[in-house]
Amino acid sequence: MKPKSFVYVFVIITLLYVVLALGVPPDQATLDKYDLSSLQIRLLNLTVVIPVVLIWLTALYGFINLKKYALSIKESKEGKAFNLLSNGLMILALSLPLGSVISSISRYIATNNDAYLVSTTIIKNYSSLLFSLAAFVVIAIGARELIRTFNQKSQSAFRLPTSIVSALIVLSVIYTWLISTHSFNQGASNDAFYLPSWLVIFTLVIPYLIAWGAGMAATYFITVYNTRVKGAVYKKAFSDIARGIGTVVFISITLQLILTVTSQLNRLNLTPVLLIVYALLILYAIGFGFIARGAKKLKKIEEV
Amino acid sequence: MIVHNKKLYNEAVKVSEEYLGPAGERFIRRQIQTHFNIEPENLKPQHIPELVDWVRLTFSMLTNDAQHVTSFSERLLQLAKSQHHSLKDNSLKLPSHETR
Repeated sequence: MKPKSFVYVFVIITLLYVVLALGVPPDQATLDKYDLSSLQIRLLNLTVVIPVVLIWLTALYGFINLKKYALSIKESKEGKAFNLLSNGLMILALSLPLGSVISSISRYIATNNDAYLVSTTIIKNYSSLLFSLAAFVVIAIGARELIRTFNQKSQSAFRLPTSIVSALIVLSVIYTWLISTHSFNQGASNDAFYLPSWLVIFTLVIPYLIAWGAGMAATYFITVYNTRVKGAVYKKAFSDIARGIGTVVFISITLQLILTVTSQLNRLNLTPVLLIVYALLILYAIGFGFIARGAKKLKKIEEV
Repeated sequence: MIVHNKKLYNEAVKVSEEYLGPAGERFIRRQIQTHFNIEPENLKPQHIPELVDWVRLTFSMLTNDAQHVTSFSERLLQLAKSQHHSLKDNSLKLPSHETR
């Protein structure tokens, strides 16, 4: 997808989210829970919508700059790698507004008709998984292509270190435990999946762990590239991209883990929930900001 | 002579890659093609002083580190000097049957 077309699609989806967030009437359960009026909830939504949209636009800005750089070097040895990295970030950036639109529509449909609660929950869960899996796998393939530009004949560069494998094992154990202890209240209105446990494990948990493994591998390969690549000025510019991608991958994984314990979060007061959301989204924006800064520096090298 | 020029170009690329990594060759090719309108492989020692001026100007747009700019420029200048010496040495090495 060309950058310009992507921008139009992104803006349209973002506007759709804003309309849904502010236009859809809030459900009574939420109003009762937080003891707020409909207008108050809408104003509160605005305090979330505005910064969230700004953060999404930062993600868009980060992707656009990296894509422009990738297009400027497409004939070069590392052109394919940067193109893949930017495509992965495109999926990640698009998943932000698109995921929120799907979530808003699902919530609205389910609130007005209980019969659709199960199907909308399933659609929401699988769409979120597909975005993560696609984004992280593409980013990981791009990162591996970067290492290949060193004409590395031995396979040792592609072997993940023990620390990353251990971290993934620990993450797998924690995530599986969280899923199994908090989410299976089948039939209850707060069931996170409305699916049998074995189906959740094989079609959600395992693919998520594959996605996160791909994300961690991508971060590692990019760090290796940043360490080995020559050129003091080039390295300085690329290190912003490395830092940005690492941050974005880490936040994505953290967000997904937190969403797994939404039933726990619902028991908290409003303030801590909002603080957690804001903190993570701000870090997301910082990550994409680094990517944009690094991409602009690299592009400048190709222009002077 | 062509072999010497290509060697000069390759050496210039190596120096450029020390600072600009994978973008180094593209950078030096662009400077040579834009400012001398020649194929980069035809770079001659007499082009180097002007090339250094352009490199100093453009490279300083990419970094605030004045030391990098200076060392990049000096290393390129050094290439021209070593090429001159190399050409001089080759011209002095006459076959044994020739006399001066």
